[in-house]
Amino acid sequence: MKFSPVVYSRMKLSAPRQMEIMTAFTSAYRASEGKHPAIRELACLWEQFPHILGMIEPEDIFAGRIFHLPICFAPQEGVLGIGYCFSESGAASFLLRSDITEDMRGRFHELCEYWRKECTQFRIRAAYSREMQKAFPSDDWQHAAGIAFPLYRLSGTHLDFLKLLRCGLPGLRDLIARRRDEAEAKQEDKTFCDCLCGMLDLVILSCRYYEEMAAREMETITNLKRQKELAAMRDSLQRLQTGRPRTFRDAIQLVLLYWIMSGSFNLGRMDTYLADFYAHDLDSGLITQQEALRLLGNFWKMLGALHKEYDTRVIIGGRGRPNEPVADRFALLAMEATRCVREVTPQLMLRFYSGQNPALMEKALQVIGEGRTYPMLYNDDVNIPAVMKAFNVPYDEAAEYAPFGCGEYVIHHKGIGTPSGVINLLKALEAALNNGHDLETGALIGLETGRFEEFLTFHELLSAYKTQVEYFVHQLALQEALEYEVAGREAAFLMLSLLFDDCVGRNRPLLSGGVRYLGGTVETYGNINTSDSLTAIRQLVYEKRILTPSRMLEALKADFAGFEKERRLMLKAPKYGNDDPCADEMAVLVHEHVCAAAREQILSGIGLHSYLVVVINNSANTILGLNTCASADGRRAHTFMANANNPQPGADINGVTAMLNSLVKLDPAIHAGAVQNMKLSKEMFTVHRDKVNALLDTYFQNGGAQAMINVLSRGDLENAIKTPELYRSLIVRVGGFSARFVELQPEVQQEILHRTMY
Amino acid sequence: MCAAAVIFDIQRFSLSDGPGIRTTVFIKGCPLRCRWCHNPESQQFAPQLLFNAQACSGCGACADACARQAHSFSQAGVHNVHFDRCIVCGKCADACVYDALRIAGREMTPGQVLDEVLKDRAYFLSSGGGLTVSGGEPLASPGFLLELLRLAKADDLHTCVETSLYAPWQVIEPFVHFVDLWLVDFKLSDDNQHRLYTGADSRLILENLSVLVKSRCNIVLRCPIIPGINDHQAHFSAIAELAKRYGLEHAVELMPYHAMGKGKAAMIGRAYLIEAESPQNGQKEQWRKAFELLGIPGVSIL
Repeated sequence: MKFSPVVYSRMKLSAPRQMEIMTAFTSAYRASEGKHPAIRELACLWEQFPHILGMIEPEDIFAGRIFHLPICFAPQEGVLGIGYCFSESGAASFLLRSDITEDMRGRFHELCEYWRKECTQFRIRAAYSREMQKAFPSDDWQHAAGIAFPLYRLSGTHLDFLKLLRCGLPGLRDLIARRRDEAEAKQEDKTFCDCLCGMLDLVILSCRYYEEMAAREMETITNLKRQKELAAMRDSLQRLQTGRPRTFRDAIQLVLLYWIMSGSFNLGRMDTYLADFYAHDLDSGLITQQEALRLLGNFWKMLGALHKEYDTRVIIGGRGRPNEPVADRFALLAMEATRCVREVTPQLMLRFYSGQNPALMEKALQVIGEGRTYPMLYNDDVNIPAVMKAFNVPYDEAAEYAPFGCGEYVIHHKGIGTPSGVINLLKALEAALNNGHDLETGALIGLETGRFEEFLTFHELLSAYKTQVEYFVHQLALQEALEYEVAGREAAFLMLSLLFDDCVGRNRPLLSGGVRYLGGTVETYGNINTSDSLTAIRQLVYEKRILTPSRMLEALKADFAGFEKERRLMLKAPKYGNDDPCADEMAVLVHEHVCAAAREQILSGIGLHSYLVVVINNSANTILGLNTCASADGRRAHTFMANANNPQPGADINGVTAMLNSLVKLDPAIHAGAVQNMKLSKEMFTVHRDKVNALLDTYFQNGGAQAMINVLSRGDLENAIKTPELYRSLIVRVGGFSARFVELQPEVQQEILHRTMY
Repeated sequence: MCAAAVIFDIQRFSLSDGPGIRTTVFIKGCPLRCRWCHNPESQQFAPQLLFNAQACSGCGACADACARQAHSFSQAGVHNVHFDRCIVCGKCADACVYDALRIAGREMTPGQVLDEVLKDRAYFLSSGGGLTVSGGEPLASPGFLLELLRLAKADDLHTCVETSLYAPWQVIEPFVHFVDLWLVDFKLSDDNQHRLYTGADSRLILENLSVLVKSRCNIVLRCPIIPGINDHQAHFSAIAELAKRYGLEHAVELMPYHAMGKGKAAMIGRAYLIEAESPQNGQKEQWRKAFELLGIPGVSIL
């Protein structure tokens, strides 16, 4: 799940103007009640655009800023939302504005009252079965203590920007017009096509809106250089209204504008759609390398301005790029832009395979070594076969896999795989240990699967845990299918449908039979804490019999207060991430179980092409951890859980090769994406570069699917002194030998800290 | 079948004990008593008790578990360990949930050690790394060492042995065919000093080195540099002279002193007999220059 800080404070529009837009938007919505969802959506879009497009800022080379209002149409906006969105937090910020009058306040409250029950999210919840209502009493995954929560959004959409750039806006309009005639001839419904044309007119209008804004800006500015910049922007926007993009600049401009208007959050395989423009302009002498870098760097900054830290992925490299040498040139430029711009987004990721131009990986490691954390690395040799199996698609389509957001895969502009649900596996184990009840509050949060004290074998406990997980995964899958169904009834998602394979051909909107692969995913959290807890329980309660079930429960309930010894025993039990067969076997068991539980959902005919687990990294491992009691792996109550498939921070004490060996034991071919974080010291990365290369090579050859590499600096060492428990695997050179930094005497640490960091 | 040895650490992803990514196996037991020893717990052959006072909570569980009264607590709550009474039964370490007490060293067979080492085989192959055996003095456990290296070679691993060469040549000779790279510690060039600081004379070591060279073994000279003891020109010249004599000009590594051993000596109840300062970066650069002038350019400082 993801949420972005909505930047209402930077809104250039006055409160009265915003109020006007939201009122007109609402009137358009009301006036089109009962009409085809595409008609209603188009009417609303025309009230929304271009008004909510932001001003051109002094540093912008491209036009394309957006500020969503608390009432808007978008695939996913605000904290969460889908289709017709209403954001409570956005509404609260709006009410805090200084330029709001009492009268406006009253009218805004009326609008809020209306949209609370009219927004698509509300419609979805209203359609819940009784069982779903029981399974998901709350949508507030951040605060409520529960095992599973639904999410409301349509995420991970990747648009076919190659099509957009090849056709241009007028070309696309012609294409749709022809499809409309075809529909007419076949006596099919033409509404969808008509509305797509109307939507394209709106995008063209938005180009004009910005063209005029650029021209106006030019008049107010005396700086010649800036005037030239704005003139180039103006000309580009003008060209896009009447034809195809001609230059690298045109192409970026079109992608940016369409992208922000569409509400899509990720940019997909950029070197398949921007590379030709870049190479053409460079080779024909239209731009210099430096100018190209400046353009792309500004594009990066525009993307960063959207503050979608959990998304805004840009993919480069990998198999299946038609013109690979040209694509590689762009990929190198993209990495250089990331090296120079130093923004949190875009999240640049490099797909690679054995035999790919080695310059790409070389450049990637250079950028990573400078502490950029980008590009993230994705191994096609593992991922493509895994995607073929997990998604049940042929090779050519699997080669189009696109990791988005926090690491979930979909098929580039052919598939949707929104994570519409969250399951906290550790909370499921908590329920299994306490007959379905929250350990702390005693509230019923899951199924009553029996009392831990009465389980005679470890197997009985494991069964109880599995029953909890299977129940919630099933309900989440049903919820996801229902969510798509309701959202499809409410809206056509015109801007997405246009650039998603099969929608135009089938003459059907995205969620109403348009998209080729309508899939779903479930985000799992606490996977590793769950398996480490099960390992500890098996060892301490059932094998060594050092602790009784009731003693363990008491310790967990008390958050170990008065049970320090018990906690130490739990901490000393084997932990995943050390290449320890016992702990890793349990991690594999937990992983395979939840993945299978998800995959089996499509067998029950819920109307999804795939339903898969994603083991991703964002802050949910921490947020959900705050609502989770103490666990048998020794983790304290209300503290973070391990991130994705990674060991609990500090639990991997056997060196990086051991950690990597543990990682590759978890099968990547049964889910839709998992992420691996790796922290390496700066010294390691520079002094031992050849060994780091060998380390990564081997990890990927051993079946490593992915790596996010974090090269640490001096600050990390300082933090390691303050919170050593989080840095147990940090290895430093002491002099004649290497040691785990946190195990060194305080003076030694100080000494190392004070050395120059090379 | 050959005897097991007492292993006190197996370090994976070891980057400085030979080429590539390696796993270093540390065997307990050493005939030398170098005063600066980084790992004083490696000297005794048998397992022994380690006490980390900083981790101790003063709970007294160890005293309850010990039948030999090796643990006592003063009225102020200070934990005293009577190492002389300890028979290394391990009961106190089991009872200590704070990891303040642990037993350094456990008996392992060559096969068990190799199983652990082979877990990173793929990493060795890609990086040109392999197995390094260190200590203690690995040559002081020759039966175990030979079997371990034989098994490693059967699995096609690159092998390094880090040694002082303080052993009769008859003991060393069989290893010539099983060791790809010898990491030979050269500690002090003056024999009197050598006796004083390591407890042994250097004649045997130098003879062995000469035979090793004649046997066409690959060698790296590893020289611990201890400020105030051997960081002087005479010793540097002796190192350079030795390196030139044996064609090892490009195989000299300096290991700057570090006070690591000081804390560890306290953990096993031993006195630490030297007071030296860890060298600063500037000092290390001076060493590098000194060696350059002596005709040993690009010496690596670990």
